[in-house]
Amino acid sequence: MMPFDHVNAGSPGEAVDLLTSYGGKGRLIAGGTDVLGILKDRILPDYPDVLINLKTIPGMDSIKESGEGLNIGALAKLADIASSPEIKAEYPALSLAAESVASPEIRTMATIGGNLCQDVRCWYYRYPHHMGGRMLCFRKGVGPCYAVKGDNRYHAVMGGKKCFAVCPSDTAIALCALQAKISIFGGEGTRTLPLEKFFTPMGNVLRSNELVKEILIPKPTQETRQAFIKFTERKPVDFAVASIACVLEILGGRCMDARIYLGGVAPMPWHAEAAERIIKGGSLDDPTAEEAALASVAGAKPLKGNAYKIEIVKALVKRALLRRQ
Amino acid sequence: MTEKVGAIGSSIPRRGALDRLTGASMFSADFRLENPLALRAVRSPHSHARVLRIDTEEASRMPGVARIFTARDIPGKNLTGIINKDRPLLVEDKVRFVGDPVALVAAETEEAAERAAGAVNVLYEVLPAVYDPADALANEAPLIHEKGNLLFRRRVVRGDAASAFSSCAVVVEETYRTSFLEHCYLEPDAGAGWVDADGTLVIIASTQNPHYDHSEVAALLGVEDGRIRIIQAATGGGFGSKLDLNMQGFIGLALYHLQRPVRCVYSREETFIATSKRHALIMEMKTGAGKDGRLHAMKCRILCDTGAYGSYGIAVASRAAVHAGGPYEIEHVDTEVLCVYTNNPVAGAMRGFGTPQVAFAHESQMDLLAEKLGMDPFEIRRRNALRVGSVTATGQKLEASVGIGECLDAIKESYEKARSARSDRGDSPFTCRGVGIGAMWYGIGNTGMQNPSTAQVEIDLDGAVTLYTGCADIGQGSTTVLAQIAAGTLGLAPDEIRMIVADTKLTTNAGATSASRQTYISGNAVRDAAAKLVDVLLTEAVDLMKVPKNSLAVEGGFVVYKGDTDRRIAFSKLAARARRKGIPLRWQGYFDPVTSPLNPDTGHGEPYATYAYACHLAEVTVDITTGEVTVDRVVAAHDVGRAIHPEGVVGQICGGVAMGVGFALMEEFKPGVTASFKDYHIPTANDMPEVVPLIVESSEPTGPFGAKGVGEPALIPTAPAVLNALSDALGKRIYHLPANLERVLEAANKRG
Ligand SMILES: Cc1cc2nc3c(=O)[nH]c(=O)nc-3n(C[C@H](O)[C@H](O)[C@H](O)COP(=O)(O)OP(=O)(O)OC[C@H]3O[C@@H](n4cnc5c(N)ncnc54)[C@H](O)[C@@H]3O)c2cc1C
Ligand code: SF4
Repeated sequence: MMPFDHVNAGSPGEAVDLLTSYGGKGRLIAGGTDVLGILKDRILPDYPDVLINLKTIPGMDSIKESGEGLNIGALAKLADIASSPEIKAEYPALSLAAESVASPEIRTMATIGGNLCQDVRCWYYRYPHHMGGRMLCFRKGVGPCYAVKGDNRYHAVMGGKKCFAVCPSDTAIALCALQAKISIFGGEGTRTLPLEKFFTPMGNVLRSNELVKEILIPKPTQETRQAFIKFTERKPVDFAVASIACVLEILGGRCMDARIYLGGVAPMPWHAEAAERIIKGGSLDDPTAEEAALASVAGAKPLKGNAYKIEIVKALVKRALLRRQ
Repeated sequence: MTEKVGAIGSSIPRRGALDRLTGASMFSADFRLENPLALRAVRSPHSHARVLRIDTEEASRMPGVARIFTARDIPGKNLTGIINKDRPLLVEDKVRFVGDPVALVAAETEEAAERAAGAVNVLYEVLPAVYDPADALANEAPLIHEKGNLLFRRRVVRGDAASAFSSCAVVVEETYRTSFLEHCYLEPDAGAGWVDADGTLVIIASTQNPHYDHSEVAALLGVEDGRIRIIQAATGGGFGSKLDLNMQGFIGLALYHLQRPVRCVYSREETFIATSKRHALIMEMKTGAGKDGRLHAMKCRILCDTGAYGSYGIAVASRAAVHAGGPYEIEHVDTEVLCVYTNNPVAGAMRGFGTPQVAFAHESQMDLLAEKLGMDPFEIRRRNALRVGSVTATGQKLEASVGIGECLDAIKESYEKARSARSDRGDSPFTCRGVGIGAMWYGIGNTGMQNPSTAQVEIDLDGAVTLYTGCADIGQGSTTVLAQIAAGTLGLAPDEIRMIVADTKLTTNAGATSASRQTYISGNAVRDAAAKLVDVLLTEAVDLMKVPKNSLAVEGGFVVYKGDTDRRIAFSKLAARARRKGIPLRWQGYFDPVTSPLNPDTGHGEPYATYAYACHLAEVTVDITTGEVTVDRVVAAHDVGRAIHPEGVVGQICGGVAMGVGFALMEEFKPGVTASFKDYHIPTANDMPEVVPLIVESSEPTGPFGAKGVGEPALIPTAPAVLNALSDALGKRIYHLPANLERVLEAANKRG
């Protein structure tokens, strides 16, 4: 691995100052499980001079439950999120999502902030530089998208335009379905936005002098039913081929409200609004679930090698909706 | 001769197990050398290109760089390969795959070596490349090697297949494909070396064949044999890829020129790009049977993509041809295998040498025939199974130890239970279950070639016995098994045998740890050596005890008189007596299985002295809405002749099943895309089925204590069994491995 400097930040403000003073040559590191791999393989043409360590910022790894909801510091470990009894009880979709990530070793290093900010896993994008040279593709600002003509079995079936890499974060869809907000700290102060608005087709809305400070999740009502299902090729240590998180409000056997997000199928967490419309107001029976499943993939545009994902998504939607908990 | 069998057939603690557990084992990368230089190869980014110029000037001047080597620095013959020599250590004129090495950097640190490797400027003229073996055979295809893109052709012909088909009641004809695979041994390739006081170049290596490495490095450097010493370090798996010369040649070259300690440790990514792969095969197979299910004819055309260099391609092609029909008697056979160069990564040896691929085809064919005939898949196999007296496609009459029938019988009960249970759908409306059988045969040792092994057994004056074997234990446990065989012959306990293993200065050639040959071939060599020593001891005892030799036995370090076991003489006394007379106390054993070369036109001959047999039963659950396949259970019956170390056999079977599940469902190396474990999925503990190993012992008269081998057979039947179970579940068959989500879903959807 090529060398870089490593400096510890003592506060969010200091981290932002460091980002500003290194002017594009500094990069944030939290658990390092993603960023170090990227540096080791030198997949990007520019290489940072310095890594700014966030782990030394006190208190940013807290998980706090209040009457209003849950505040999770960006440095909270996925392992801690997965094992928190409060989160298991009230936010099971998030707990399951965190638990589904990678392996125990990685979950004890990886942070929720890093999980939301991690880079895509497209195998062309990630091709190591020392093995015949990195691939300069559209996402890197030069060249075509290799996935369009190449092997795209793991790529997007929806919402892809120029780049078909999927958003790899499992926690993202659970948090979106839970209507989480993300609090971003930067040179201009703090801004808070719905998590859904955080993601863009080519990454996220973070500016070069900003960092993720915390995640805020409103408390679900008594009537809420949650599900998270992740489908992988191999059981553990695998990214989602497709996944679903849904949060349903069920009152008197009727679905009053629904939020359904799909993962692994689009460049961003995919909001399955059409499916939500179908189930809202009615009872959740087999035909409705079937109809919602179809609606969730309406308009999907698979590439040459990934139409199979559509079948999987349909099955996941049905199962998540019919799941009794 | 007498022999003690107490040592044989018991699962004694594995040699070196404690060291592995405590971390004391020294793998190649663990050796602490004084001030070693790090070696790093500069590899081609192109799959086919002429090398116009290699400019090392700038890189050589970088801090920490000791030297940068190119082909010009190789003093001996810059061509390597165990079967055909076509692969340069460092490319001189043109690169033939992405990863072909063009230069070698030696530097003070890994980082300096990496930086300098990046700074070596190579000017390439990119040439048209070819990635498909069929395209590579076309007239206008770019030539990868001057002799042409067809490396090898193997025919096996018996009877008259063409006309036999017309008399068949049913005929099935299909095309099967498999993918390139990565071996995924736990320990990436690594080695280290130094120059001894006497000028010997000592190379520590993670290897499956130290004595081959030895001769290859000597030839590369043009030095006498005695100047090289290869020592196999603890080796974390090989599965065939560590049969090639990987980093050993680089280390030798650097030692030769720099006379300084060096180390060369591949990253996982480098093993992915630089080392060999399993051959991707395209197999067209036509099989015909009579109404009674008896196979009459088989025609088979196989294209074997061997990538940029030969490696073990010829062996794979030959073995695929011989085994294409499966463990069945077929009167009329017409097989042709073509082994073709392409600009893909080098395909070489991998557990099974082509047999896992052809087993997928022949076992699918068996199920298809059964279906057409309305016959049970078990029944059609049982009817056709080879038996003593059967004649194989190469015209070889099988004389003994043909355990396929026994293996089938061993799984029969489980099979019937599984069949009747599979109709209950389980607890989910979208899953269905299936049951499948896969069978195989596997010739032990190299195909129709001499492949001897030697070993030496020595007794000290104090009666202690040392076994010297060149046999590389790469985790399969050969050191333990060979100690058991020596102990069994000498009437000692296995842990009383001191082992000197795989060090070319001290041991003699045992050949490659491949082709499931070490227990059978090196085991016999060990037995031969031990028997010679026993004979010396008995002869001395006869002299002293004045009783006939056949009334004496060896036991617990003594020669004892069978008529009165109190009459005994210690080995030490007999050894001292022999020494005084000038009789050697170190004896060499030798074994070369009786084979005959295959006729180039007909493939006739006796390719192997014995065969192992096996069949697996797989039970799977398929989620038809998502394509998810769960392998629930594998019952694996293996005829190993004799299990010298039953737990070792079970270990091989379980590991083989794991590898087979990967081969069946998920593993695929895509050149240019697959870079490491992040894109190459192998099963984890959670993906493993329950494995029920059944050891069948159809004793092999020429084997040591009746043993054959199991290393590769362990893997071979799994994928065919899983694929047959899948098609049983889905009512649709998949002809392309791996049967990944996409293919399973497609099959599930087609069933309507
Ligand atoms: C083998 C393996 C398997 C994996 N499997 C899964 C999986 O199944 N599902 C899944 O969701 N993920 C998976 N991952 C990804 C893993 O979850 C992420 O690597 C991890 O969550 C990132 O967290 P981190 O703290 O280590 O981030 P880092 O590696 O430290 O950082 C990742 C990125 O986020 C930025 N960053 C980190 N923290 C902040 C912050 N507070 N504000 C702004 N930017 C920040 C960094 O600059 C960097 O660009 C896997 C990773 C590996 C290596
Ligand atoms: S999908 Fe995106 S990341 Fe992958 S090759 Fe195309 S542009 Fe690059």
